[in-house]
Amino acid sequence: MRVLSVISLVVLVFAAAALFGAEPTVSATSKYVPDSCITVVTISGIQTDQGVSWMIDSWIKSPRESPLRDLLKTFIPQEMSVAFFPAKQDAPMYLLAAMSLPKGAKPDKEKIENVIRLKPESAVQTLTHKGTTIGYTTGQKGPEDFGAYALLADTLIFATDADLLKAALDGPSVDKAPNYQKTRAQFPKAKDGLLFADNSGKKFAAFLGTLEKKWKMTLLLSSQYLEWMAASFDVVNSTRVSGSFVMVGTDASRIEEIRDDAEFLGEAFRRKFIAEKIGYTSKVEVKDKTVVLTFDIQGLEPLWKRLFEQGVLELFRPERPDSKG
Amino acid sequence: MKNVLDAIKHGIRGPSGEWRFRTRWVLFGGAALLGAFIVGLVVWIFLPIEEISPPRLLPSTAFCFFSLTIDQESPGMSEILAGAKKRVESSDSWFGKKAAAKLVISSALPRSIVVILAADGSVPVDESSPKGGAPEKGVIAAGESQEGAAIVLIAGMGKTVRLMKLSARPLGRALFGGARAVKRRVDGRRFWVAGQGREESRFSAFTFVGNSLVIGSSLPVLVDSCRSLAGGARADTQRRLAALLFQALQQKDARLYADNGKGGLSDLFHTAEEKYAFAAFPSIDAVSTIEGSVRVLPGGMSGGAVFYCRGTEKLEDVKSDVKFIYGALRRKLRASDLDMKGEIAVEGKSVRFDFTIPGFAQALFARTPSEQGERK
Repeated sequence: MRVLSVISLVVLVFAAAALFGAEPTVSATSKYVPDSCITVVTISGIQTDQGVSWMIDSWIKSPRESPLRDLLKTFIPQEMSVAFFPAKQDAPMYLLAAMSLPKGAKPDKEKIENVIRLKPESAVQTLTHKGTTIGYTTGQKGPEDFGAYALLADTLIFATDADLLKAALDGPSVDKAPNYQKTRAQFPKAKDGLLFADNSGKKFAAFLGTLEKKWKMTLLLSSQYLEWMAASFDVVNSTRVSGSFVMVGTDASRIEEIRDDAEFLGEAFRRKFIAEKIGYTSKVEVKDKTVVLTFDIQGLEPLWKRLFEQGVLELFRPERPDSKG
Repeated sequence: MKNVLDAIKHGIRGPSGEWRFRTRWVLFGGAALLGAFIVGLVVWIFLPIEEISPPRLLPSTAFCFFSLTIDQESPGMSEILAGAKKRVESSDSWFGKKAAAKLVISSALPRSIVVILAADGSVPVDESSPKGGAPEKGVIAAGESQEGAAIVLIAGMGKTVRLMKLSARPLGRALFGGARAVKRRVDGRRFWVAGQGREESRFSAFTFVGNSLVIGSSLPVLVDSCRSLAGGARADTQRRLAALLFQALQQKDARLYADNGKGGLSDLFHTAEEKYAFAAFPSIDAVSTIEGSVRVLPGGMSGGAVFYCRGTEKLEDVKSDVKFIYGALRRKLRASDLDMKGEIAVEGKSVRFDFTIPGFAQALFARTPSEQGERK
């Protein structure tokens, strides 16, 4: 029955993507995401969009406590990007989160530093890179999620370590990556969220492979034949999300395998949602080397709440090589 | 204590150390008894044993069976067994354990395995015990079924079953996830049931019937199985299932038959759907029976299943569900480097699924990357 747990997890991953997902035309946070990222999710309209603001509010207020939630209780970002990078030996989950600050917001330094501390007594050290102060912690096992931060005039950036933060400040950003630009062209009118997964150099396939090892199941049979993937979401309100998921192949000869994956994902969502008594409709279309899965989900509120209680990043966190059970 | 030792010493040898005549006979007698015991044991093991045909053990509420005939001479099966032996040889276990495992693979494998699913329930027991013994009075109730159905596993062990009888307690411990096996007599037959401290285990009772080891997920379903053996009237569905199982066991492959006439299969899927909050087969109510077979061939495995439907209205839904299950299996097997290929088609009032899995035997006993890492 592990297969079913994996599919449930995949559904939640999809939902998580919708949570962390940009007005693609104007993205204040993706410019801080280095182009070496495997996948990035940008969510915009956090303060203005009815659906997104409900979601963020519910996440912050969910019973599961975390320093990041504590911090976000003091200010609500306007936009947020979360990006995943190829894992490092001491950081199986290597990630960065950039949040654009509302005008006049002055986040509490102590609460920011709590996000990167492994233990409450851990000391936060600082370094200066290109005129920006980076706060970071060091530990024998490495940080759990974030181990460094930088507070810019209008953006707060967290990263797993200081090296990644330096890369974020150095650029080039994912905005300039050819596949990311194709994604923007694909979704010129993207609403609340945009997910981008880059498979140049098969990096997304390798990233997924690590998760698949954890799940003991191959999720995408065609991951080796993908050029990039993207999704655009519209969080209409607390219960409804609609959008489309695009999978682009390296060439048209493998399109049937990519279609098979898209159909399987669509079916997996449908079956999960049937059991959860959530309304779900989807359609798969193929054009040249592109497969598009469009979907509409209604009645999601209970599922969101459960996801927030479980912890969004738990879905992505691979087991540490030194952890036993 | 010293006096006792002296007495023994002087009983065996005389004061000058010579063997005493009487003691020599005692020793000879002991050796002869031991020899006779060993010969008796060997004779007992090799004495003809009652062959029990698994269809005779079908519980009255059975609705599904899976049968596997293990023919060590068939090319496909011999490839799997050769792979298993190779895996044992390359393992890190100590010599004795390896030798025992190889002995089991070559000589003590069951000749057939039958897994039966039945609706779980309670069985009344009273003093009209057919075999006498020490019957109980009352009702043996099944525990809450976690899986939506009771399971009976029948392993046709041949004469090896006699050795298993001698080691029933350790066998019970292994089957019951570490819990003690406790004897219980119902209908004059001895059953072994899981005692206190049972961990997560699919089985909680077993017994020996003729040449077979019969294991059950609950005592009531096992008692029901054994009552079928005693004879008596059988319902049409039970008779039909028994005939199909009999036919299946004549084949040199694995067979599956599931009757959803009374909704047993639907209950099974609905329970799983509720447990895992996932609808893997929402159209199961439209399926009346499922028939499947798997053949192990050299270099791979091939098989198929036919899903007979009650009507034609839900055929496309059933096809979609079968396609999804195929997709999930394909993705699960790909994680073990197995490339499953399948085809799904609608034929009349049924949905047909055919598949092949090349390289099955090699992948079955291949070391996982993590195991390889551990050995380095």
